[in-house]
Amino acid sequence: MVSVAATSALGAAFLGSFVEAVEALTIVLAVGLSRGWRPALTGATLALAALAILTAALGPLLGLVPIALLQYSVGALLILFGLRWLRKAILRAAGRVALHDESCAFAEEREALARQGAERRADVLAGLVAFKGVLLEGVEVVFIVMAVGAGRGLVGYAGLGATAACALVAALGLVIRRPLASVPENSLKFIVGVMLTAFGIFWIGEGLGAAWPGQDWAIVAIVLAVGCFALSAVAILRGAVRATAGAR
Amino acid sequence: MKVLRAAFAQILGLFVEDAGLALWALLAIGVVTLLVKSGSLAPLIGALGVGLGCGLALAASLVQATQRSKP
Repeated sequence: MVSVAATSALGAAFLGSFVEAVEALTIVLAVGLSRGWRPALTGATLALAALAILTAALGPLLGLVPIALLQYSVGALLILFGLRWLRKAILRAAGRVALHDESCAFAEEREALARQGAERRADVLAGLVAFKGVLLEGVEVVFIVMAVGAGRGLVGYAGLGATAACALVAALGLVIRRPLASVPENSLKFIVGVMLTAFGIFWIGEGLGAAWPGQDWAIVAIVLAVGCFALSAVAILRGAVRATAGAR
Repeated sequence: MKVLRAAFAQILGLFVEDAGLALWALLAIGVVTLLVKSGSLAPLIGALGVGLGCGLALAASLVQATQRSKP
């Protein structure tokens, strides 16, 4: 039977990777539609190869680190990563920061590429844009997989979630050939921010030697607690926005 | 050197957007770790303390961001 920790790792990796894959796809589509598919696919393929080498090189090193130290350090990194996503998602949900718009990002990227000349150098630069985009978003996917999976040997489950998300986004991109603007990116980032922060607190506890009540089920309780905190923050900030608007 | 600096900035950017939030969260983790390792705090209470500390750091960061940006 699949444990709660494995299901949570798979779910967190799927959702987090989905968001990152959508961002990478937006960049590849922008390059492909404005400069041609050759530089776009070459850049994306080279980035995927670089990611595979990076993962293959770093993966075995994880086995050399004592498990408590791994849980502790991964927990600390997850907390930083999760808080960063959560902060942005809360500010966006409360209307304090503009929502991320894939159509807008796509248009900006295309415009920037269109400004380049028609020479061969422009294709190289376009390929580099695709390479950098896929590599950066891919590094985040690799980190999410390692971070949610490494603490308990669940990298396989997390990797499965990430692969499914990337395959789904790639398939959607092939079918619609437009940026996936209808993806509720902020809601996904909010959920993933909550899950990563909760995982971080759980792993820090494990690394410090805490015996969590209910063992793995404690993750669910921590997710709920962090989620309630984040939702309350959104409600409070929205109220403050309304109060400010009413006072004008 | 320029490429290395850019790569470092990108990696740091994965974890840190608001330096204050990152610093307070790390401080909470560091203080709790010291207390747990010195035997002054039970690990479970320490883990809950990390959660509380990070919650406070996030709340402070949100308040600051709200004051900076007018809707």
